[in-house]
Amino acid sequence: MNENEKNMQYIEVSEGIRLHFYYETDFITNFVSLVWTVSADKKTATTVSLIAECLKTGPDGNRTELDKRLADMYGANFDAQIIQKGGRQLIALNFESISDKAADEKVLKNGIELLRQCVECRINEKMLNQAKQRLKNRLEQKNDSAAETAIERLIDIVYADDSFSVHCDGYAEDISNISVNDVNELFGKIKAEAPTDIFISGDINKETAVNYAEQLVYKRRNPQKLEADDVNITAGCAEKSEGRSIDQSRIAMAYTSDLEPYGKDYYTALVLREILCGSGDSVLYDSVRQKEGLCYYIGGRLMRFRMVYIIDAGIKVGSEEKAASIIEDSIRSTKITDTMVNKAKNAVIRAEGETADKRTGRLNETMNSMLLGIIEKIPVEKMIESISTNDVSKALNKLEYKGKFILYAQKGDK
Amino acid sequence: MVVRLDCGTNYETIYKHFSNGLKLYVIPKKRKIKTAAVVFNAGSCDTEFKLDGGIYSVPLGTAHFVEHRMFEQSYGSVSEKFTELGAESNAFTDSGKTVYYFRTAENFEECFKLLLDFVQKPYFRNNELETEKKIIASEIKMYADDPSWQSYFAALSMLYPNSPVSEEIAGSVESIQKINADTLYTFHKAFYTPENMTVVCAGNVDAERIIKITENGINTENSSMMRINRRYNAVGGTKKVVGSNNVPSYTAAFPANIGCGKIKAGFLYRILGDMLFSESSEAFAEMSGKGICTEAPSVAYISENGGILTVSGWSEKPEEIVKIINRTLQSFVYGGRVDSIAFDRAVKRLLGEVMKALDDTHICITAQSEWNKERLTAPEIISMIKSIRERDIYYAAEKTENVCGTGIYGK
Repeated sequence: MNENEKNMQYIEVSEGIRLHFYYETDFITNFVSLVWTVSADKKTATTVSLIAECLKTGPDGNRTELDKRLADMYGANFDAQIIQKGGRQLIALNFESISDKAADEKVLKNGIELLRQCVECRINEKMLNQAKQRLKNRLEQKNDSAAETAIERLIDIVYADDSFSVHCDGYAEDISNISVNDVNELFGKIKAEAPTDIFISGDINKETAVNYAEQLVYKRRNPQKLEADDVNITAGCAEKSEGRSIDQSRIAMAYTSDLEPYGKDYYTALVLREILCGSGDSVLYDSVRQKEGLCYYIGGRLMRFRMVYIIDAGIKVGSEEKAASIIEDSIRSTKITDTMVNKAKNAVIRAEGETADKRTGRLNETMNSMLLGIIEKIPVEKMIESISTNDVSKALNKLEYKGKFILYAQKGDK
Repeated sequence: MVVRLDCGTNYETIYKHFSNGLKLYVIPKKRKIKTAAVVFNAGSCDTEFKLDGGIYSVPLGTAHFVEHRMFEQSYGSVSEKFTELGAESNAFTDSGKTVYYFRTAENFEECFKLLLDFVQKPYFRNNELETEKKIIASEIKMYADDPSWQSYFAALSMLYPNSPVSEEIAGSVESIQKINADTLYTFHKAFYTPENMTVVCAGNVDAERIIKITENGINTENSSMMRINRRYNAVGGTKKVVGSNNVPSYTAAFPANIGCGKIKAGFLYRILGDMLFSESSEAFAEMSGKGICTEAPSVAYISENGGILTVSGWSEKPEEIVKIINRTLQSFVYGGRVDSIAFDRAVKRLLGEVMKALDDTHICITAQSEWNKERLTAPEIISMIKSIRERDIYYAAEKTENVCGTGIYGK
């Protein structure tokens, strides 16, 4: 296989169904993923989540048989998950197994058959009832996590009228009302119409990959194009708090950027994130943890599809407002220097390397590029190298505070 | 320099054992990021030891406190130095070891020299420890809200009360107040020595250069440290801790003193756990049939105190789940037979999981830091798993005692 053939190849398998194929032997596994993309909608979010939950147990809901099947494939990983990207909800069916060479038997072919059966399956009552129970438990566990709760509530208030605030894992109060007909009707519609991406990577030749992808194609009718993902952020600032019986308070704060989610802008935003809250010598780590001792963890993420920074921390009881004040003051008073920018650029380059070293890293990047409409591919290192201190300073000055959510601890020492 | 290679998977490990006791492993992999770690066999359970004619007892959380403070040197923050070189650095402590590591796309050799250097140079000042105590207290409180962490330690505290294995890694808010600079220096002197040290590197790295740098980079002397290992008798019982989570977390812990190597013991118990509690097991069929759990329990093994098997998960009826777990284990020990098909499946699954995990350089580092205790490498591990027989599983089950410590955390 020559170098060109080793790179990612993009093949239109059917209308609205794309195969992304990578030949590679750096990993011992082969990986297949089938992704359906729909717009996030509060009315259907839970039903979509239940579809994924049903498919987790295989084509007929028999977990025992699925478990045996996967064990026989050398502990292959099979999962159906919901991914949120901005105002879009993605169902991803993933399969990963050790290569046929390492196992010395045909594993991938069996994996494709499992995926094909899942695509073709009709969800029954038993599958749905079990899925409902599991989803209910999962949503309860998610709600039990103070960290996740604080971030979710923050997005709820800052993006109240935006599909970004749709809970793509679903709503507990909607679960019981969903029937098996509802689920099958929506699943059938998604398979027939939704934009579909198939990822295949590993020690596989192209013809085999195309053949496998064709086996995963459902009968298409009226394939849809991807709908626009419009941003609709709450005017002004949104602030809210709640109490909970926990030992440590949690705080989440939102800052929007005017940078674009692609190209040099995007990487400038990542550099800024690194400086403010990326690592052990970031501005916020230093000001909130090291100098004041108000927390053990403080971090931040850049949510690309809305270009919003979410900063979150576990805060010592009684110091919540002080911590919020220090975070805001630290961001406003930071002076960006060449040293900060150079360190941050190295960190971003390293993070890109870590993404490339991960099995699903390339898949995620490809999906992001497609959903954002990125066509031009510029080498990432080149883009990052071109970022100047002035670029980052401008980005910092344009940060706009959009909201805060505090989950107050109501037990423990003060 | 010795090279071990597994032909089926192409896993390769290069190792060298130095005359001062230090062990070095290099795991070549074609990756953009290179990783290196220094591992000291010094963890939260190491609270009593002899050194230079004296007997020392250090407060709970000392090993973890040392790990935190090692990143502050006389010249400033070590993390900052790594960042200047383009690397990310971190560390962690568990019951039996402390690991310092970095990951980088560039300047690997400079980072590696920095890693070897700073772990040998303790710098502890009493006036800087008070802020660290606040930070660690925050960390302890963060874990106080973690249900699975809390049920785990609750189970161990019932199984082996008063044993350091049942105490949290970071200690308690009270115990860390007793730590001062002298405590930290003493601990460092005792445990941070070449014979107690392993170095592991993974990625697109040059093994010969790494060996050379290591040879020149270690200038600490070995100490007279001798661990005081106490064995604690298993007691058992149930502890419920009130938490805010709606779905309780549970852990059932059993003594598992198998007597063979700890690494093999871990694999035997994973296979046993798979056979008894996986989604294709009769126990899980019973649990899910009764509607008392939606996910199969997870099984783990730690080697402290002779060996402990834990079975953990989430359930609205945790006591009932633990009864099923106990009954299943005892039924197997006292009259079960090994289902050959289930055994073959479990071995295949374990083999596949180990192979897949080793694609990740970070896991290579942490796995090798465990395997090093018996001087094993990835190719030898794969051979070991393939050589496990049904009778080994039955023997492992027999060695679990009919005593259970249970921890439940929830509303």
